[in-house]
Amino acid sequence: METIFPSRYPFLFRGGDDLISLRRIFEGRSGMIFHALSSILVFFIWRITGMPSPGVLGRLVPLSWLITASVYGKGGIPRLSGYLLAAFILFSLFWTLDPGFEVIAAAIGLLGIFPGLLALSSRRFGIQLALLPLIPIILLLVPFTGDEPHFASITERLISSRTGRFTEFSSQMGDPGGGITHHQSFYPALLIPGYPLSVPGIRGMNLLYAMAALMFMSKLFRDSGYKNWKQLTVFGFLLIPGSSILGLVYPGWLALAVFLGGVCAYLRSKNAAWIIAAAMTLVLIKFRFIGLSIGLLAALLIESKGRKRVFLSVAFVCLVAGGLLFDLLILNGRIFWVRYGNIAFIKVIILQPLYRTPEVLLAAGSSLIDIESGLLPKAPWVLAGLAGLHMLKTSSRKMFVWLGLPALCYFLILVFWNPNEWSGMPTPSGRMLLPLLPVLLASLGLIMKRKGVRILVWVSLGISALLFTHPVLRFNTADGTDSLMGRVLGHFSNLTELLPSAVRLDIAIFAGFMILAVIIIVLLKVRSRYTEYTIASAFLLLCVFGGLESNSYEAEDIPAEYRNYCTIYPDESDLELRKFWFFSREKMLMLSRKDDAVILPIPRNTGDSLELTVFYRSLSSGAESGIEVSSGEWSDSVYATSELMETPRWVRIMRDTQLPLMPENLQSIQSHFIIPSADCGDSIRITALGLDNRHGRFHGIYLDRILIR
Amino acid sequence: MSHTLKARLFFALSAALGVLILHGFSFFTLAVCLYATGTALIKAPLSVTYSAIILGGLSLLIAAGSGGPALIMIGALLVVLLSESPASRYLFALCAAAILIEGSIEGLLPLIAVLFIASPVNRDKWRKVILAGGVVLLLIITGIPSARENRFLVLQEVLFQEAVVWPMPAELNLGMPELILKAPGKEPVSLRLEVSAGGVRDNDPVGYVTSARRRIPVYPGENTLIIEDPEFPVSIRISRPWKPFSHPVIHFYSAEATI
Repeated sequence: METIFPSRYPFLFRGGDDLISLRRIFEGRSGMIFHALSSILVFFIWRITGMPSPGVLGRLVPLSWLITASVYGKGGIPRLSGYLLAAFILFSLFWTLDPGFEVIAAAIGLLGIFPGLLALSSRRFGIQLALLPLIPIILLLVPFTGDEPHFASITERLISSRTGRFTEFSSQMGDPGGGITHHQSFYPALLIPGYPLSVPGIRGMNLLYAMAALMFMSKLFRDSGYKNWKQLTVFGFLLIPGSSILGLVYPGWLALAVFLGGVCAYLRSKNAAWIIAAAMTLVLIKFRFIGLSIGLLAALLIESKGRKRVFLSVAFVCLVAGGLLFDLLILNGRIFWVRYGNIAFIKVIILQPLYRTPEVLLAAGSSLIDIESGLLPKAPWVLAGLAGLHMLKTSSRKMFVWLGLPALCYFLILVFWNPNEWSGMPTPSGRMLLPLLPVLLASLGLIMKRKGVRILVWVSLGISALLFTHPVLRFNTADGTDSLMGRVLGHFSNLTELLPSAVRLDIAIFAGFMILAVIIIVLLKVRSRYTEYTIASAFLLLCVFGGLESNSYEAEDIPAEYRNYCTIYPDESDLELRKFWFFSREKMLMLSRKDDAVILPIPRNTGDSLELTVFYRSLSSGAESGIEVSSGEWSDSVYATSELMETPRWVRIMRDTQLPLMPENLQSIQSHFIIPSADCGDSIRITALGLDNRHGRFHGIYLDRILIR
Repeated sequence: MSHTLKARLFFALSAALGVLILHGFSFFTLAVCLYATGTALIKAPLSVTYSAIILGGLSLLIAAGSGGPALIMIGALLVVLLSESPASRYLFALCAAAILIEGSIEGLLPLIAVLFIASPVNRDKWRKVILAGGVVLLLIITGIPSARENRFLVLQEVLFQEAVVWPMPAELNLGMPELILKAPGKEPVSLRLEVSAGGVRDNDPVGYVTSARRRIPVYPGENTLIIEDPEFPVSIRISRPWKPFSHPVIHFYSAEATI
């Protein structure tokens, strides 16, 4: 042993010199030692406190710390990491006291490495190294769902026509039909190298594309003179929307790589061919990126002068015409003509601004503040990004034009194209807005040191960490309740009533939040000293009012303890099913059997009487239906049938059709009941009337909302 | 008094007043008021103040049960650990004491004692040592804090042909130790449950399924349990208390009651 060891580990076997060598190795590496020790601490705290998921999260989170330690190199301990570690210990100590605490504890456990990742980003290959600790979590934790299996099945079909591991996902709701999916083949073809390794392999390919996009982004930031360019790039994948599909099988990051690669190559060589190539490739990746292509070409025209501008304009027209002909004659219209080359689509595009302006405006607003799909609730740093745009325009016009114009065109086309489904729910929220990331980061970098920006960024990082450790909370189903909020605060919080939702639209709340967002953006822009106070006041007001007892019940959110049977209509969560719901896309609670009932508790502090208002739709396809409300000895009932709504004008122009007798096409009824407090029992019971067992499938009462005052 | 401190105090006292007016007086709201005032006096990096505000705000949102008081306790421990202002530390220790009196959390006494011992200590290092010691002491004496009231989850039942089914899976752990199945208006003749249990280091039951007086153990591993003539509500409950290196869990997959 003595003969082997000294040669392998000389520093351990040389008496006094050994200690000196050891010290030399660890000198200046306190950060590395801290992360390694923290990894052990997180691992044991998880086990000592008995937190759930010790085998998966309880290993992956400490592993992230360990990988951070191994790539950390020389450097001190990030101050915030120690603080976050203490917060993790405290949350794990109290985890049994609320169902949301285990989620928060795990997220803080991961958030603790973020200061280290930001610190190490300044080193050589720092951006790549900063991504490493997150890779195991991305590859192993995120459920393989949404569009991912469909892209994988296309990749599989490109390799082999035989049955494979993704065959069952070969068709999807919303496909144009005839064996043509609504996804194109170019992006799945680029996943082929990873296919032999199954899901981790194709996700790994997407990580490579994300890394390419980040490299181009960092190069743009560096060349534009940003001092914090490396840190900004790391923010790009730590913050939503960057983190929402990082490493997942979605084409967003690849599109970003092509877009930024084209811009980088053009700025270096001034050769317009790069931009034209990027614009065409973006359309091949996914047709919705045509907005980026238009923005890129517009930026190229703006940057060109004189004859070159005329030549480029003619060239663009020829290219588009050539591309459409190529698609029609060679590809049998698989890219454009099958989907959009019909009169119905052209009619929709023309009718949209004339008859659906409110919906388009709502889509634009909800992209910012909608609780489920909007950027701000999950990424408040975007406020700072928007506030810095003016500064970006004045200090770096080049970045503003090349990053901003494509992002703007993409955004406008996205919300105009399909105002109801722009968000892509139930896939991870924020993914459709990924092309906005570079311009928002560029402007964030300029105002990073202003008051209030730091808190916005760190809250965003915290939410991002929550979605890394509990990726299932990224998926929302357009039902008006955010899954992350529901998991942490419970589905029955009064806060749900106060938050803006495009599905459960309340104009006053929506407008209020838009105004608040504008106020914060203006305060950040003018460097006001009241920015932090305004943010804190808004947050505390929401908490104070959101914490009050709820007297309003969204019927579909009523928990099982207050429901006897009843079913949610529709029972599928895919938004595609509600595509042709023209009046409201809100889900409802269906009472269609004699045993179905809603039993609500009587609120505290009632006066002489209790006023109950029920909002519902009543579909009669047999005996007339209605509702009965009872409490203690008291009861009252009302029979009513909802009228069928008129077909919206724009739909009638499209096709002369009458709406079918379905709950979503019925007018809402409002029934008031006054219950004397003296007669009140312990609870209020609402049941359906007119259920004669001879009725049709949809016969029944569809509860929307119940108000108790 | 500096301008910033005046503004902070005004802000904190307004928040406290708002809470008292809208939520009424209770030991919890008293704790929130002390917490708000203490937050105005924090002398620490800005991230500590931000965290205190976030934790305080969230405590109001999940005030029902023991979640809100627990957030106040976490905030108090963090501030006493990191604030350089003795006044803020005292206020946070007092708000923790109010949470103790409020009484929704069991096993807080060692932590409160440690908070009061640590508050007057000005040396940063010593406070860290005392609080770390307090956490260890807590784990040895009482174990991790637990909720005083029983927490349970009611699972949604669905009528499907001639059966009542519970198709949604659920997970029970020490944070949510009980699951209730109800079949209102029905008298099923048998109930079939698919559950699995684990997270323990022996083969004793992890929990029990209770239907009226019958009590069926749920052993580690996969379990298919059949109860003839069940009486509802049926409860599935974890029976293991907290123990280090033990993560008792029951996975409920589905259940079907034949009518």
